[in-house]
Amino acid sequence: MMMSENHDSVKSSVTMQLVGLGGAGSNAIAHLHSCGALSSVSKIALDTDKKALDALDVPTKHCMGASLLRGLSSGGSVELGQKALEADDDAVRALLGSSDFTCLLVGLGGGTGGGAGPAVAKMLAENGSLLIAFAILPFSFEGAKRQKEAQESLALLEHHCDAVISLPNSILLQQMEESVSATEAFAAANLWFERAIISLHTLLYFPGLVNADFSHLQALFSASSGKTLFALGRGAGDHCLEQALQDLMLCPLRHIPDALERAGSLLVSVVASPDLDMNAINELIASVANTFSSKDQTVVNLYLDDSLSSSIDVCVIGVTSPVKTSGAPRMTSSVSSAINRAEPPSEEEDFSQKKKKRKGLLSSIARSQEEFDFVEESLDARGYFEKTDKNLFEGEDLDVPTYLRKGIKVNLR
Amino acid sequence: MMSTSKIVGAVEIGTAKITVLVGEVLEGQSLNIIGLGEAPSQGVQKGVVVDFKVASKLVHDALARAEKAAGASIDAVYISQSGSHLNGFFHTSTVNVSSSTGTVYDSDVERAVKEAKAKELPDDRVYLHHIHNGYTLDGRPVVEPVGMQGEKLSLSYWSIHGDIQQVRDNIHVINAFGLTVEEAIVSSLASGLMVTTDAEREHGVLVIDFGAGTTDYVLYQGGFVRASGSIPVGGDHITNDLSLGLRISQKQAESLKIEFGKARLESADEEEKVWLIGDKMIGDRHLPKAALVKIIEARAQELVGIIFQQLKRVYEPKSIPAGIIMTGGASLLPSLGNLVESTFHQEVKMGITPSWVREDLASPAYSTALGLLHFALTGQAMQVPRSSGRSRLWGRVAKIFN
Repeated sequence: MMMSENHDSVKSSVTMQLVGLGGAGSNAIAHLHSCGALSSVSKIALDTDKKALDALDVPTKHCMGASLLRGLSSGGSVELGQKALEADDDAVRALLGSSDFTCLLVGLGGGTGGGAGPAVAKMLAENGSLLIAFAILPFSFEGAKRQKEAQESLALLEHHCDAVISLPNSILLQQMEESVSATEAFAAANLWFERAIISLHTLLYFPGLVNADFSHLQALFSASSGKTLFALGRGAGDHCLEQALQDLMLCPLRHIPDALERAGSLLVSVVASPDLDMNAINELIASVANTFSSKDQTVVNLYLDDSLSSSIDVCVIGVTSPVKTSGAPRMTSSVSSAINRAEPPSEEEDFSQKKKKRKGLLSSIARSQEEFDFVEESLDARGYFEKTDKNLFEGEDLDVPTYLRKGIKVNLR
Repeated sequence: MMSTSKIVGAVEIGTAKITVLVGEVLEGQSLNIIGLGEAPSQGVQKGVVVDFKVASKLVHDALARAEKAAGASIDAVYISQSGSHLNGFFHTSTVNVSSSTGTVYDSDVERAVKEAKAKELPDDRVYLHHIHNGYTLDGRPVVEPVGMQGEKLSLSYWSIHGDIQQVRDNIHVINAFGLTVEEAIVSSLASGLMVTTDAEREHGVLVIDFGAGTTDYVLYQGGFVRASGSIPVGGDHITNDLSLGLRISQKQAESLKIEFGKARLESADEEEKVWLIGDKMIGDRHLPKAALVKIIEARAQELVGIIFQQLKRVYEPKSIPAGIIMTGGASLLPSLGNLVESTFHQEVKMGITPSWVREDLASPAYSTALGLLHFALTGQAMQVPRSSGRSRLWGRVAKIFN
């Protein structure tokens, strides 16, 4: 996605940084650095493997624990990953500095990422940064040990971070063609991170027609402490809205087991081309809120990007409520009340014009809610069988879909 | 003397549906089916009651409806039992014939029976059936050993036991309606009896009942139940897999399953798309049919594979010349039969209810309840040797529940 040039006047002075840890994390940072839209965001890559770091084009990089590992990798050891960070604690802390908002990118399942990840997250949290971690989880064929280590690291990360968005490689792989290589899967993971982070960046720095900002993001994550929901959808061309909605439903970031849970609080961020029909966009937002939210707490950010045509990007960020609510969500009050709370883009020049547009938007959202009625049933992690005992047969839970346990690829497109 | 008749209720608390049949047993010799009551099931998952209140209410509705239809009050209930808590084992006991002449007496048989049933279960388990599997006298199979000559008398049982709490839950549902449970019978034995003939059971036949919450099977050989089991995976799992895998609601998944579901992917499915809702409006999506079928195929293959593995001990294709009979709601999934055939290397056919059954009850959906009524009349499938009182066996269970 390209940002148009005439929005240099950012809507906030919030500082944002991207931190990549370990091989996978640093690699993702290098990829993000190559994205024009994020050129002004500060980026740091941390790894123990000097050779791998040297090969990356990242503005700030640091080889951790060189005295201990002599610039070699941690060889998949959680312990060495931890020790490398401990040996370099002060240097890393100084490097991380203080930033309002940090995205930490890390690969879990042993090694530098899994070992040092939780401690780096702790440092960042102590610096007072709003912290979202993006974690790549190992392939299921990488074995039970790595899976277990990844789950342990993930639990620790969740403890320190405001939100953790995980992307299991096996789910990613499942969405791809039969013959895809592991490298291609990593590249695909990087593309998902790119879209996710650009969406967050847009939310923070570009004033929307319906506006949400850093405070909304903060409020979202401080309100409840459940699981993080995150999904992206994109559409282009004549049927871009339908396409974006379908894309959103299939997003691998919205993976099982959280796939069909509803968020207690939800933020929907939309970047659309100005040529799209406002009513259609409203319908889309109402439908997204209907699908993802469980209560009347949906904040909307809608940004019209003049450089685009016939295209739309949707980003959904939510947090599930720790206590589950049953029954159909009460959407009627939700979107409108949330939009009322959102501040108008006061520094915009053509404010009055946009305000008019916005007013029309509000009434049509209220209308479209009644029309939208494809409410999904409330579902939990193991779906229909969530509340029943595990169905164990030779160590496998038979209630979990077979195709997932067996790693059978299912192409949903 | 006046003719005696008894009104019995057959109750199947299924995962998808509750079925009550009312039968009138005349002189203990003939049976008239006089009432039917049904209700969609709720509060039951994987064959087990998970929400007692909800399930009870629906069972009571079905009971009331059945009694009303029959115009009579039920005297006693036969109830089917399913779920993963059911387990079975094969056990043989051998005794020395005690008389000096080598003639087998009743007392020898009784000792063998007692020993065969002596295996203690853990505190939380209860025997549901000891299914007679024949006598041998000095290694020769015999039908009636008493009066014959020999040294060693052996007797085998296929014994089925279940979790006390879960058996009790089902019985309590009936008790709460003010009725007593005469007997709890394992579902596969009830439906198996209905969809097979005496000849098929004699030659060897496997019955697989694909239900919504469980898949139950029973293997007959030489007229005896050689093995039975219940796998807590059924049609609901297919629906759930589709719901999670395709990111759609349970309802949407259920209707996609019914409309487009099949157990095997064919090349023609590869390019085909199906619409999720069908109105092609915003929110509707088209999905590749291959994705849908692959998800179902994975589940069906695994399920059939598990049954095959469970039967490994006794199964070979030539051991069931009468083939495989499928029944139950989920058996209607297209090409499931093919999949079973290629796993078991035996012919598969759909179960047919015997001709004496009223036309409106001929669907496989009623085979378990009909089987229960059949039990009420005969107790036949138990293959109980005359010396082992069924009442005594049940007496033990009854004691626990009263």
